[in-house]
Amino acid sequence: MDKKATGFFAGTIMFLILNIVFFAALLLFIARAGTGADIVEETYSKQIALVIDNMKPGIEISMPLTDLYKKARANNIENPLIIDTSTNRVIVRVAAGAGYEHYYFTKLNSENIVINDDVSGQEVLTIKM
Amino acid sequence: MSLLKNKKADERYLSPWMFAIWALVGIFIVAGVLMFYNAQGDVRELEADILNIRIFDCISKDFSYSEVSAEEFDIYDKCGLNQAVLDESGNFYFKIIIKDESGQVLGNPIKAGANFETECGFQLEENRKEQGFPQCVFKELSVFDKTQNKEYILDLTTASNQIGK
Repeated sequence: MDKKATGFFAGTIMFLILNIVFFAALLLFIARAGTGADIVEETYSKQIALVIDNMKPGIEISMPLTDLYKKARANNIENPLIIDTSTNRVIVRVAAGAGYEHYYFTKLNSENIVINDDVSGQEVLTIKM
Repeated sequence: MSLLKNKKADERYLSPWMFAIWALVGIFIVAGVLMFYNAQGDVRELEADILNIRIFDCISKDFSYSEVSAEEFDIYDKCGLNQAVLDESGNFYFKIIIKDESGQVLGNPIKAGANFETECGFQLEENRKEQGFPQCVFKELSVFDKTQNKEYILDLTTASNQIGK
């Protein structure tokens, strides 16, 4: 193979490798964007606050927290969810940092909030209104 | 025109142009993804709507104009709302105007929370949502007072500006 042809193939291969690296990095970013700690914290805190505000008297709801606890444990966080009934805040933290907090406007007693393991050993949040 | 000529140099793959195009594609995709997730996370309108429904549900249930218009009427207690959060967090606002059947405003409005009256009024007048403003929900619903055998209209404005942190 002459010098010109070798250079052409090397360039093509380098181009293909760089393309693969670039698009893999983009795909990785897109895949992680939806499951990153920031998004998980924001999603759970807003979702739980909205659920509390939307509950009617006499209603009891259960919400699985398996993914939240899994993510928190991976980052050595023991207690990722705090529902502070004195300040009406839902605080979620699954990674190092302050976490994410969202207010709810409904009066709620702390004894009406329970986080425990269900039959399959998965964490479940139960709220009674 | 010279760009369209079939030059030898056109066969070069690893040109600065290619890297510039990749950078542009990358920037647009990253910006698009971030914008998508930010838009998804905005629950202000939903929150304002929930507050609106909640207030309407609790006031309209066994509605009594004399109870609601009384000076000592405690809407927080009646609707199970936390006064401290509504009044002090600066995130929420509501205004209740009671009207008679003909649309005549009766008494003073019941207002609470941060004062978003101007922002909500502007959006209502212009009939458009301003993303930089608190998100407001307006509803006019009729209620029936069984003791007086009379119909009233509840004009409810609720707003939320809670971004979260």
